[in-house]
Amino acid sequence: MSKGVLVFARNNESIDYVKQARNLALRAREYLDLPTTLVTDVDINDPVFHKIIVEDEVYKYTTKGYNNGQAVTTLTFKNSHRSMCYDLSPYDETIVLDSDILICEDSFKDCFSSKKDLLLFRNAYDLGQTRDYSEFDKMTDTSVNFYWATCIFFRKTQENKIFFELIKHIEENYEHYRMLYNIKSQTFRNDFAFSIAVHILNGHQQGDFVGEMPGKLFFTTDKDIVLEYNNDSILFLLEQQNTSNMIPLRTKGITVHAMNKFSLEEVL
Amino acid sequence: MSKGFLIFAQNNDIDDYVKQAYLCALSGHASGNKYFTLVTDVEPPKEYKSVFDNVIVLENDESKDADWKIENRWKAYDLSPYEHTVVLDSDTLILNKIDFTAFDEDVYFTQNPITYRGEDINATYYRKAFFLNHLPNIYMGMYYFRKCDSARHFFEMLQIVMQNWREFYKVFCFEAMPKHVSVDVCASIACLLVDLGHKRKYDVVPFVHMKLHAQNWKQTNEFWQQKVQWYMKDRLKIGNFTQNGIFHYTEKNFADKILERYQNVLVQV
Repeated sequence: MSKGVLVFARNNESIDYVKQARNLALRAREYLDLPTTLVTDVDINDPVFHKIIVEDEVYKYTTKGYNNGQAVTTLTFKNSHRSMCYDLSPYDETIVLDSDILICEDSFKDCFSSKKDLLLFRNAYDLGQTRDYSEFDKMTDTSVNFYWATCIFFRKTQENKIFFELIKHIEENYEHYRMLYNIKSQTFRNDFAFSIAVHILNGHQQGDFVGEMPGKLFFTTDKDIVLEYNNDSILFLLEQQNTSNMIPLRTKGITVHAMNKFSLEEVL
Repeated sequence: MSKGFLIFAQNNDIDDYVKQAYLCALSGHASGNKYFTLVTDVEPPKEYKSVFDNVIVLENDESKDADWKIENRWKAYDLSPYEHTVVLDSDTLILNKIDFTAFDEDVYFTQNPITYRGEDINATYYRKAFFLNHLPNIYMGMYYFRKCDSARHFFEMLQIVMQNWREFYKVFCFEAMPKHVSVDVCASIACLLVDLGHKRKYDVVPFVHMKLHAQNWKQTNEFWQQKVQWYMKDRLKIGNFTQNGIFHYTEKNFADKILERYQNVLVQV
């Protein structure tokens, strides 16, 4: 069974996602002993990647506000076609990771011994701890469980093929599903598409179609700043909700989803 | 062994509980269940009678002067024509075929109601009296009994508690004492006295409780129907969650909205 990491990286006006993906590939090799395949719209050749798939078809991109910790800039948001994971991955067993995941330990290795063929994170933990991010519990107050599409493990099975086909369908008909699931934001969000697909394949009720990714997913928001990044140690400045104060926090040996792309780029 | 459903329904000036009982029985037929008995105080319309195998008109109505009309509920044991009886609140829908062999106690009470999302409900909002007085947290919206000595003892005790509820509340429900007679509270006290209603982690029949503040929502409206969408094609879906088991809709106008759909189903059958 071939194993590897798949990462999507499509640069926009300001953010070099490929640079982040390069860091991810180095870390995947160091901590997980896995090759990485890059899916990008940039024509590059970099030996750090096991394989580079150039997908330069122009998709219907949206925009979103990117915070650098001080101000918000509206930039192109190229988040579509995460549903292509199944078709694009060259591996029998794939871990799909967002490019801004900072791997600092090896718990993702446990994916390969899981009895489940599809794993997602149901919960993630804010390093800020005191902030209210209950929005990540349910998709909306009345709606279905929230699943993170930032880290995915899947095996190439018929069920998972259907799962990713369903995500494609949801993406193509997002306006319908947005209304059906009472989602206010018009911007397509992979997390929502995955959450809806899990709900549907659970038979529109609580179920066990998907398993829980091993380890814990910690995150910092785009209002937090990454100050240092060395080996398995990361120093953050964390925003304190409803104040202008920032508090320093150093992590060691934990994998973190760092959402402030600007400050991440500075330390890479 | 005879098995069936018993539904108490007595109209008051505001609510048509008999119509709800009719809907409940209709939903039961639609989901493959049989044998329904209505307990009421006046002859129901002919149309409603068609879904019931028995209609029992109470001879001695103890709730004649009451608004809520629950005072006759302790009579379930004697009135039921079945060896095995599921008793339902009238404002419920039966969404699946109920397997009577799943009930593993002589008297089985719902203890773990769920939200429309299949999660444990937030019970603290409505159930302060139960928690503060350490009463068994049972729900009489759906319960089961088989005709046997322990069930008879329970109903005999329930009669005593319901007919003397003020005195029993003073002793067993002193904290956050309800101002009205409640069949849930009285049954819970009766359970304490006859040693029934022991804590169970799971219910064998899902009981979806749609009380507004039980849904684990961060913000609530006045009615759950304002907060979350529902639709019914083959199955009832609330917020895109398929509903199973017993659905306790609580908001009376929901019955009017859904009744026609069930009548159509019956016509097709």
